[in-house]
Amino acid sequence: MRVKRDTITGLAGLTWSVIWLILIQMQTTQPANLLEPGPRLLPYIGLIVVFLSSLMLAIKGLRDWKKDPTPDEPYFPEGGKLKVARSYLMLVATGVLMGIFSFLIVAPFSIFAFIYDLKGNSEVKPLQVAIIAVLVTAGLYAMFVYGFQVKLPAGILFN
Amino acid sequence: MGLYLSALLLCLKPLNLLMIFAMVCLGIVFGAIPGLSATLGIALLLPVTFGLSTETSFILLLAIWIGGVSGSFISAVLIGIPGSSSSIATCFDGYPMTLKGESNKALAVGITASFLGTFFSVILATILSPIIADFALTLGPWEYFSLCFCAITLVATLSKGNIWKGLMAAGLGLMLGCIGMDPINGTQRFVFGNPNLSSGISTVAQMLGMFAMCQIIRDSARGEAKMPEASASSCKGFGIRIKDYFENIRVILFSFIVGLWIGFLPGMGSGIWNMVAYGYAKSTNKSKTSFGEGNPTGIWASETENNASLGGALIPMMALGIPGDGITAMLIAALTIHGLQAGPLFMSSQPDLAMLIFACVLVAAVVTFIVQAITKNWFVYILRIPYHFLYSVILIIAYIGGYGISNTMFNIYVMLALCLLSLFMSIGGLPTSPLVLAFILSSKLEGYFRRAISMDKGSYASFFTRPLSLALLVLDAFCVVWPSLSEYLKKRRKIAANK
Repeated sequence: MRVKRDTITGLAGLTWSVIWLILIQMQTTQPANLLEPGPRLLPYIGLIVVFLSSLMLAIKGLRDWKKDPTPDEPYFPEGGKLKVARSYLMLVATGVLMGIFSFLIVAPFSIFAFIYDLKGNSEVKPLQVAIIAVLVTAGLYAMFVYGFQVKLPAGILFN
Repeated sequence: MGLYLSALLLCLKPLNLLMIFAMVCLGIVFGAIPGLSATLGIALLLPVTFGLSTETSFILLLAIWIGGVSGSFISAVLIGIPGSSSSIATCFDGYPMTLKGESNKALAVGITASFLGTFFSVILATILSPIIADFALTLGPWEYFSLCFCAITLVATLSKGNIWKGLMAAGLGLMLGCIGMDPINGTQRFVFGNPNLSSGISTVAQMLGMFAMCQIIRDSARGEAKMPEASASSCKGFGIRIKDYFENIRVILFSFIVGLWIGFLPGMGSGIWNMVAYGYAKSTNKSKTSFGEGNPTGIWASETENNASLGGALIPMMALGIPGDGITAMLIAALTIHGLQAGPLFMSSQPDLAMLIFACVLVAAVVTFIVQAITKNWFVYILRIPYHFLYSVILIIAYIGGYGISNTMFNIYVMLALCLLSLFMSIGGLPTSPLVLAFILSSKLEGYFRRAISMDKGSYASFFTRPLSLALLVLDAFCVVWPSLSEYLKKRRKIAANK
């Protein structure tokens, strides 16, 4: 039995509502008073909206499934899940490494990796990509640091 | 009038004009390439403006916005894929015209219609915004709460997909908006002892994570980054004659009014109304069968409508401080970054900056028209830029933007976390615009509500006894109930017809 995507989304929303409720109890301690609803108001409104809509979405998914039990079309094509996971891990790795080794060291490698990750079936030459990666890094560094006076990650190793 | 003229002269200073020109060109590239957008352009540009003056920042941001919105028809005409959802109807006749070898005319119509829509809607916005802002000063927190609530509900219920998905996304936006200090007594919520969280989640980090990063890796994994090869016939002359304007004047006027109204209402989405304008053009035209096979009237309707919505969106942003869409939400965030508060008081406390915003949009519209008219034979080259190179550079700029918010790595991690959230939302079919709008309006919503209750000594009655507040709340209720009600009525009609 494969439930509809709406049901899964609804159940995920319901689970998050329970977690959020626990977080409200732990993180906001100031109660409401007679004059003012207090800081718990908005978290509770968010909770109610997410809870109700998740519940309705889960029910809708179940109703749709009863009418037509054929599973939903997969969101990603074959191999897409792996590709999106790989791309995301690459983004996380870039973020973490930038914090350690600085923008100037990590950016050329990241651009090189991103180009290869996003190229699909297009053909690219490694030397051309490497040159582009270095030039883009240097250009961005010059533009932001000297042009716009924006600081870039210095890396804890060099800080 | 004097302030407006001096703002106009400021925009026409050579350096400012050069910046407008550069940003308009960049905006056209962002608008033309499907998958990129003016929203993404502004998100990437926002961190650059941190070190610049407020005036310069807005000149840059507004120019990229105008260029981006206007440029979305280019891919619709040349490859049959709209640069954004607001140009869907442009594909119907624009691409067939390209296939027939009339791309020059199709592009010329697109350029002119975009210009007319933006130019006149901005003039109207300039006239109407101060009047609405003056009226808004007479309103209290009850009306403001109802307005913010109305904006969120409209976006949530009218966004694409199921109403519950829109509401769920809005709820998540409210939850994200709770992080940090509460707007009334400064109580810290959901900060988990992390000082970086006490000022809440950065709007820029949110935009970069949810729009730039998520969109690129998702589209790449779904195989949506590949586009057909663009080709266009190049020919001399602009491509349209004065006669063409007068022949389509009724369609242009109707589409302009629709666009202006849709831009004014938060969350109405230009995509659907683009079709409404197209539908009107088709139904009132003598040769209905030529629509879909390359009738330029279809492009007049679609492009005038989506660009007129731009001026419409400026009105609530400037007069009320309420964003109508993702782009105006970011412009409001840009004002906040520069220590300013959008809203009715903004027009009276910062009249020079307010007029600069209107003047800059006007100048950017003219520059966009000139740039597009001169370079229209080169548009095909924009669509031939290798995506993997472009997207890789955008991803790296997103890291720079994330870091630049507070010069800490923390916002980069926030950006990555929100990218993951946005990815899960896409898989679940949840729209992102209700989340963004609810997030931006959450502190205002809470602030106005709690202030209203305090002023009424704990009573909720004024929300329902003040006419405007009541009208807006009734509209909210109607928006939530209407989809289910219309479905029920349809079913009833079907059953009755079967009997």
